[in-house]
Amino acid sequence: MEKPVYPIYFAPDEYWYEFDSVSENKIIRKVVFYTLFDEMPDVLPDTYQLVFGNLLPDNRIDTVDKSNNNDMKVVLATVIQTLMYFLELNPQFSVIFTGSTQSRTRLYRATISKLLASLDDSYIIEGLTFDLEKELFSPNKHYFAYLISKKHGN
Amino acid sequence: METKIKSLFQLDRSNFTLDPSLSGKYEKAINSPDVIRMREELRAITSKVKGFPK
Repeated sequence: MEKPVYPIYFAPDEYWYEFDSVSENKIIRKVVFYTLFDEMPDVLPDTYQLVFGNLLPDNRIDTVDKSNNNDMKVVLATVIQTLMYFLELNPQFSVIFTGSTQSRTRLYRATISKLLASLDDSYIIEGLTFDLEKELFSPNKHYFAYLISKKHGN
Repeated sequence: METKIKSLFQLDRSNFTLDPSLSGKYEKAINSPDVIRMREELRAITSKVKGFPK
């Protein structure tokens, strides 16, 4: 099944991706980038944090703005495309991500869960639960963060 | 009988275009207050998660 996504532009040497969220009323420049999450190298080695938000004119990022551009599913599908691309280029890395706020995580949950559940089986998807457990991802559960990596040998 | 076929979300490389003009934006972005906050929150909560190897 085709899922619509926005065209994505990326920087050659950095894990940096931009796209435009487009509606009849406005165009919002979005950015996704991956930054080394080296706070816990013993338990989360080679892990990058996915950061997503609106790109401001001075290149800072606003992760909490509510765009209300009526295209959340397309935007999130585009973000997941960057995640797949990042892991294809860097299969030795894992990616961890969460919503910028708890309410946003809840808002995104159903769509993210559906998208993650439709990834092929070359990915290992884990969820970090609110009971502070790490487990294999289940589409119907609530998580505060997701951890995704490529299976070795794929 | 209805057969459900799981639809897979595939990477489509045709969605991606290299744009050298985007280089250099990372350094500014990484120091955004929102990004620093997200990073600190994630570090704080992941440090409490069970199931990681000790």
